[in-house]
Amino acid sequence: MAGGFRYGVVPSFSPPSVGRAVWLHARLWLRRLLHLRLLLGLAVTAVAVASAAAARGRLSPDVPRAAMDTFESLGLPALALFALGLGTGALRRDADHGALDAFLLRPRAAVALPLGRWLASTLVVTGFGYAAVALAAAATAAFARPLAIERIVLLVAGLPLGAAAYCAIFLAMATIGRSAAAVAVVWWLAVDFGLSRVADGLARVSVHPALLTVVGFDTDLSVGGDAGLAVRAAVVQLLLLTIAGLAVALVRLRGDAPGA
Amino acid sequence: MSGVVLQMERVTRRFGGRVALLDASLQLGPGIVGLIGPNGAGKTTWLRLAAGLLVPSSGAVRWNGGLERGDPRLHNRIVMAGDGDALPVRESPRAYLQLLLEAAGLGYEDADRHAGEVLARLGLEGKAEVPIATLSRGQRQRVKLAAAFALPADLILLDEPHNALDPVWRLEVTALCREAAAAGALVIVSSHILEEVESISERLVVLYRGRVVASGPRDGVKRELGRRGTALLVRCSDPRGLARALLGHPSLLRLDLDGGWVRFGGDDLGAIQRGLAAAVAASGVAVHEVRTEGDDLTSVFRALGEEIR
Repeated sequence: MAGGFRYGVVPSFSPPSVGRAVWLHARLWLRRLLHLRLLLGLAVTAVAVASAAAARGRLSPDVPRAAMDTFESLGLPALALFALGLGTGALRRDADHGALDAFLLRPRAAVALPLGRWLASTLVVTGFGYAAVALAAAATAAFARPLAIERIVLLVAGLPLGAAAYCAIFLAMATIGRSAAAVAVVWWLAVDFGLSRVADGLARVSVHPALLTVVGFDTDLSVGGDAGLAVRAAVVQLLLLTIAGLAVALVRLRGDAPGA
Repeated sequence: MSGVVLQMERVTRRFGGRVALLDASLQLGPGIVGLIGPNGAGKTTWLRLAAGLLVPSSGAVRWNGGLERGDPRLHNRIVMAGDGDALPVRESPRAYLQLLLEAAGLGYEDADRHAGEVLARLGLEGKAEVPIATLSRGQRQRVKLAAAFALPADLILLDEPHNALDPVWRLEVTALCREAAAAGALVIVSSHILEEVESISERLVVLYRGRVVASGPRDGVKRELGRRGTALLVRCSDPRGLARALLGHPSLLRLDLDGGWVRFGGDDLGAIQRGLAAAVAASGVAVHEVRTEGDDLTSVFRALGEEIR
């Protein structure tokens, strides 16, 4: 047969440490994720959200929160949807074809693969959020009025927290099986986006209300101390949700590999 | 690598209330082992347990002389080419192999070059850059095998490796299995293409309905199973009469009528033959042809099925 390969002859290499393996899996997953179709989808959505926010701000000059309200009602759901696709896809895209086995055969991969792919998904979703904020700020400044600088700071600080929590929760849901995406959509619509607004208990296990508080959409900054407390509580909530999501995913992957 | 590569101790695996593997115990060292059994015998469950992809419900699986699942020393020591697609279909073969090699610890350029060489050995150099989804079944199978053989390992698990391959590539895969075994690996080949397992394996593990019903050197297992599976096929003038005459013989375990043939199965062929001679002499039935059945694995499966049923 053709080719110079003989079994056992391989360039020298050393197994990566856990930390390096996490970054390796993040890098490899980013390489697979960042294809033209996804980048176009992210860019078009960011432009659409920013344009809508700027247009609303220009059309309603008397409503000080008009642009922000539009960003809240379009930008944050878009962020959650990208996190849903990327978070569940981080495992299901390979597992549904039985292709995850080849990676999970390595002992450290049960930890490094989910953490690396979660990190990569969080970076992409945060990147989308930042792009949308930057475009919205630019468009609003050009066509309507400047966004308050403190709001932009809160968005820059809050979006990675929200992206991390969403991606971790959806990653945990991806370990359920083939129905992961459906379960994630139902949870997002019914609990995170729906019932969490009316039921305080559900708000504690939801990302959306905490994210609204952190990025300032639900916070009256002029209140001072109380608002600061609410923001800190929301940050802690997002961090706990992230840790819980990752812990569930890691524990589940220590058991049976999610096969096809 | 020498000594015990794979050790199973009383391994049982249940899925809900269904027992997929029951009380499996064995120790295997380097070489080529055939894992055989009819569909639904539990081969894939056995392989996934051996790969550490499934956790036993009870019992223990250990590797390389006693290492437990998750031990970092098992990094890159176990590989598996699963049944079905088991491939990321959007990637190209080269990108997929490169991903696996980089995840193993190779640098980008080394991984790229090595992936190219492995794919060339399996005749995929012309298809290295197209999405796996566009490849034929045989080509996909070769991508899986390229991934399995790309790096040296101690345990190589191949689920139906000859599926969809033409004879030329079957020989090439057999050659790769032999190279790996010569390098000290334990290569486990699961198949229902029994002749291929027979020709390639030094040892056999036979699964039936979730149980390891036989394991050991190929010829010994075949002899043992053949003893249980051997039958006499007799074409005669009165099959029903001959069957009736031998009914109640102490060595007779199975009896089938098929057209002009009658099949006598049992655990002592010599005793059945003597009983048959006496029955023929007493009944006056004209015997036209006598055949022995049971020295191939297909017959063994049939016998096992009847015995366990």
